[in-house]
Amino acid sequence: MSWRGILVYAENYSGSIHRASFELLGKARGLLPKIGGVLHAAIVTSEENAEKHSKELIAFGADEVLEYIVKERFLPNPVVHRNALIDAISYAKPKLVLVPATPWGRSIAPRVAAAIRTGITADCLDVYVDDAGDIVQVRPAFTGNIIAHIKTLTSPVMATVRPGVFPLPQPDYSRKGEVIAKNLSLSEDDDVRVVGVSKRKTVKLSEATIIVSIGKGVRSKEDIKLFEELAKALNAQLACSRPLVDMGWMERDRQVGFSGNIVRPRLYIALGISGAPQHIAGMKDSQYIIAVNTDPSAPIAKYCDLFVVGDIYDIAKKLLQALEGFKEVK
Amino acid sequence: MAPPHAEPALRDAIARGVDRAILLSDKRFAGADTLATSYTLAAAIRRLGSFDIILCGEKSVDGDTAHVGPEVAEHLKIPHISFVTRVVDITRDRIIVEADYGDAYYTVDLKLPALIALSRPVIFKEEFVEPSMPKISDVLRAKRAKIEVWNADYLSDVADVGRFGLAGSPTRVVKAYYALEKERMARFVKGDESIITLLNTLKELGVIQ
Repeated sequence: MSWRGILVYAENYSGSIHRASFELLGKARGLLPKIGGVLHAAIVTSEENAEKHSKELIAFGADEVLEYIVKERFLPNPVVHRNALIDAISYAKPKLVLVPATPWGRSIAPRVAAAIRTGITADCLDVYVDDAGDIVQVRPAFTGNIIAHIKTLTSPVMATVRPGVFPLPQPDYSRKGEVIAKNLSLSEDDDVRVVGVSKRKTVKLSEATIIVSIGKGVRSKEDIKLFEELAKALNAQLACSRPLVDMGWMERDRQVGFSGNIVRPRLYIALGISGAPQHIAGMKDSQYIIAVNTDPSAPIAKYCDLFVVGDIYDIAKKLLQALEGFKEVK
Repeated sequence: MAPPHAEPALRDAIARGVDRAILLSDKRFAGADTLATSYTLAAAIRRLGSFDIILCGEKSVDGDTAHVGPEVAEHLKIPHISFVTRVVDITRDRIIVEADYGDAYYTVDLKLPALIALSRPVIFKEEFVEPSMPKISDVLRAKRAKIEVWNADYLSDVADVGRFGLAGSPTRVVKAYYALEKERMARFVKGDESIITLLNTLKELGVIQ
């Protein structure tokens, strides 16, 4: 059996395609000349959105879209996506399968890899073809301290890829592509029943351009209001380190770190955050980092561009006052 | 599944309420990637017999893949949900959880047996679940407790030993190095200088005008 081309799994459990899927299509287009074959995209979608979704996937680079149309209620069911991806792989026989390393993708892709008994590499930062013509996957390990280059001996090569590492390509809606409607036998068992959305996320830190982040230097839950005001004055999102989430003071979606959100804003302001490795792993790639801390020997000093030695309450209040004379740039 | 030095972690689990601890340890398990690791864990679970629920963490600190849990579930052909932040309810044959899909939290109702991969912090019904310090008496009891050690041969009637460890791992690390950190030379300011410097920096960065 010969394996050719690339298959991108387009993430869609809510009715809209996750943008990381488009990033992967862009990356795959760049890899394709070295790998050969065509670029497939596989999507589980509904009757209502199928046409729109296929057009988008072709505009972003897919040559052939494998379309699995299901009833709306099956969209957020991971079992359906697992079955669709296994079917798409056996149809397209791709050399490489790329899946966004979102929580959803990191749940579906490994199941598929285990089912078809192939190797899978998690949360990749890059994928390239080496001089020998082999696909190499690049990923961080040990809280991001080690970078490993990994080859897969089985076919297809499967990887989940971190959202945001590849640029969003320019869509070209004049591109031509093929749409192949695929059938999925939906079993009527009720092993997994999705009841529905329990809570929408109010904040997406990974998309924030300015972040004001607070840590253990905050003394009480009520005090958070002050830093909320500062974030608002700077047109920034408020974030935090893990202790504040563990204490129930801040919601999980605002946690920056290895076990929370990995962020890359233009400006990251760390207030009263000492800089534990688990926090650093989530923010070290920010463009500019300001730290405010009473202790100039705090580990975060090694990871910031400007260190203000001082009390975060005092600095926040004075800065808020001073900002009254300025306008934030929208 | 770990080298023998992982024993203290199992003793800690016993001190916190676990009845029986098994360490899967064998040179033939070494060098395993997620496929071989999950295959070995699934084999051991099969060897144990029946179960209702498999609980695991979101991901390990060293590997950081979050892939092993779902792969174990696939080998055992049972449903799973990852990134679970709340257990809403549990009955004899079903469990209802809330899971982070990425853009939103979904409520999912699974048939047991099932595997659940939990993210921190976890809410059980309405309560935050906080690991509490074990009592001294429990720590002492755990110190004397027996830790069963299972090797590859012990799993040979429920698994193909050729799928363990490096031999059963399709991925190979071909190169590894320390991550190059972006060099940052922090400028330190304090006192009266602080606010002026902050304002100037915000202006330079185009945050305020």
